[in-house]
Amino acid sequence: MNASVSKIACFVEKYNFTDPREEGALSNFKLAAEKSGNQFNFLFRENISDVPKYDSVFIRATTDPLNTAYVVSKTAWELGMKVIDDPESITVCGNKIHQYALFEKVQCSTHSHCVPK
Amino acid sequence: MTVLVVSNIDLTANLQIMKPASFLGSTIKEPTLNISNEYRYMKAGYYVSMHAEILGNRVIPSCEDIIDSSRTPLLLLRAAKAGVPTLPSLVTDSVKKIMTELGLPVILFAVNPFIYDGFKIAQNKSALYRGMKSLGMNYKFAVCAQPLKGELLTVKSFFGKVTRAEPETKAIAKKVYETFKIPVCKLHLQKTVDKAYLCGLQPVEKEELSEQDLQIISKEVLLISEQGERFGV
Repeated sequence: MNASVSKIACFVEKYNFTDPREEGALSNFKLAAEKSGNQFNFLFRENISDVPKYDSVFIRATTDPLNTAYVVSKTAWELGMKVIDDPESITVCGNKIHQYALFEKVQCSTHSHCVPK
Repeated sequence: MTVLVVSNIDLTANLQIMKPASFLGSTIKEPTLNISNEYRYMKAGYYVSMHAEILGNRVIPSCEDIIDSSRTPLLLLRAAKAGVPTLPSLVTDSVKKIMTELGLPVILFAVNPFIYDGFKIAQNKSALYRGMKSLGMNYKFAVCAQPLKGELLTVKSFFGKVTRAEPETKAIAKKVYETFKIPVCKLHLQKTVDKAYLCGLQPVEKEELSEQDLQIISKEVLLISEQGERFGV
């Protein structure tokens, strides 16, 4: 086997395959990865503990700090692997209040808002 | 160094304490000590740390540590990296995989957005199915399984300190605090004849906090406020 071949895990949930367009997109990802000489395997919930067997992780399941996808992302991150989405992005982007506050902080134009008490 | 103490717990110490709601409406830029019985994601305790981070304040605990410590697989992974004794764990929604790779008995923790408290012990296969169904919410989510090797023990940890515990339990609580900096929490441990292992970390209900607990927390808060310690970058 070529030493430069990267083993990519694509974390998915069953619902990722219910929409034909999403299924088509996943097939395209796999084709593109393999065309570039990489291995590309779908990783389901049942086999999350297999994350360390890969070089990198690509997450397609819903990303939220409370979802399994975050556990996968942070596990890969802790193990020093390349991962998309990375856990910090999931933490920030999964929370509208966090996003809004950061947009304000960097003076990114936003609409006026109201945070319910 | 001034330390801002934000707390949803009524502390006994003679301290300047701000309530979470007041802090969330403020722009105070000071190192922030966030005391809460409940740091779960999207609860007030979490938002206090998030607000402090957005203000650029150093804060205990950080959002990252709050999230990771409440997800058992990440708690165990990071704790093990820090040298805390843990047992091998498995994250899966497959009974077969648990039976094959861990065997019985096992202890199960939820890994889903809805269940944050408790665990199930499975001594046999039917109990394992029941536990997976319950904590996996009808097999919709994975669980974190660990082999059950000894006696289970739950202790309250305040700044990594536990009362009336054996040295190995104290050492685990101290190391877990050094790693995650969760000031108030419950730790689940397993004890074998010669060793203790970390199993899980969960919130403490306010009703579970005794007068003595409040005094311990208050004493630690006072110490940190006076010395400005433990806010190392």
